[in-house]
Amino acid sequence: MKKVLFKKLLKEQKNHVYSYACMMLRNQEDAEDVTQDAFIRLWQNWEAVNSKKRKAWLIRVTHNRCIDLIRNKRATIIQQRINSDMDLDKMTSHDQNRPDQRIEEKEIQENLLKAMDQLQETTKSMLLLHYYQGMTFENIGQILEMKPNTVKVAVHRGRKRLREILSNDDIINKEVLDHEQYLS
Amino acid sequence: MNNICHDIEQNMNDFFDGCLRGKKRRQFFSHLKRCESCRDSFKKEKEIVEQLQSLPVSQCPEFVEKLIKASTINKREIQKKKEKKDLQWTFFWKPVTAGALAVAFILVFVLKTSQTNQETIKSSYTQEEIKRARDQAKYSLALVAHTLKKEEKRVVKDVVLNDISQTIKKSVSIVLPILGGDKK
Repeated sequence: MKKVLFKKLLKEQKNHVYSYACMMLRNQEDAEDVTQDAFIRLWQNWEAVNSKKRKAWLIRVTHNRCIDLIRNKRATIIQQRINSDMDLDKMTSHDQNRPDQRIEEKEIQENLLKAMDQLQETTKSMLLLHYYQGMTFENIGQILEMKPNTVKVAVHRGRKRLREILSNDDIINKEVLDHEQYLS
Repeated sequence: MNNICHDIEQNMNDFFDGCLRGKKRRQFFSHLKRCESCRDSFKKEKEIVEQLQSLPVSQCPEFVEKLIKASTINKREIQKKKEKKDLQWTFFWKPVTAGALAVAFILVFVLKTSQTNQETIKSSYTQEEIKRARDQAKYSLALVAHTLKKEEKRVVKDVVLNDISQTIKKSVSIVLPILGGDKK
């Protein structure tokens, strides 16, 4: 029974867990390690984890491991952020039939991820869990051991902060473009 | 940076949380029509949310899934297979090892004993002693042959002249000490 349930959960959640780790760490090798670790820990603690909260438990372990890795390898991660080694082409595209749109989409996503890197890890993870993973504030609260209202306020602030960062980038880009046009 | 009207901010949060309905919703959108700054901020945040929601889902590599399974649900099976393989090897190697050990033991024993014999011969007799022993043996054999020849002649004489039983008795008393190792 345990085997069957675990197999089912692995099939359902492997991509979610891996994607979340990828977005948090921006490094595929680390994301692979974290995914492995999270599922192995779930197997080891199978009986201790409430059957209804296994998914949340899995995400919590993934989140904690990601935070640990980010804190331990902060210098490396910063370097990786500069290099932006996470290749979005390796990920599944939502619309693979239109390459021109795909390139534009990729650029927008990269800008968004770069802007998200400027947020605090917890805020970033909350935004990812809420909008990317589609979790409710209650679920995120369970995962991060916070009150749902705290999560809600943090998500609002994070979204606002993201808007400000991206707006600033737009202004800078526009100024650079204007300057280039003036020079030419 | 876009400035947003203070009253409208909460409505915007509610809209993105999916709980802005009825009159408030209508008021919110009518405000957006009038206020350019709030409209821009709303557009920007809506874009961010849509981008976050449409971030690609990374496909968990197959090898990661295999590794997870190997450490969890397939762990026992793999261990059993390994044990079985080990057992097969043991069964195969046990007689071979035993045979090889026996052969090695015999070889070592033979070599050791032959070496010991050679060593005892070498240590017990010198070449001079061997030569002397050989000369002694030759002399003894010659003496025996001479005595027997002499005795033969005497026996023939006695048989012709005297009683047979007395002759045999006398011959035996002469020959036996010689055959028994006596110098005579």
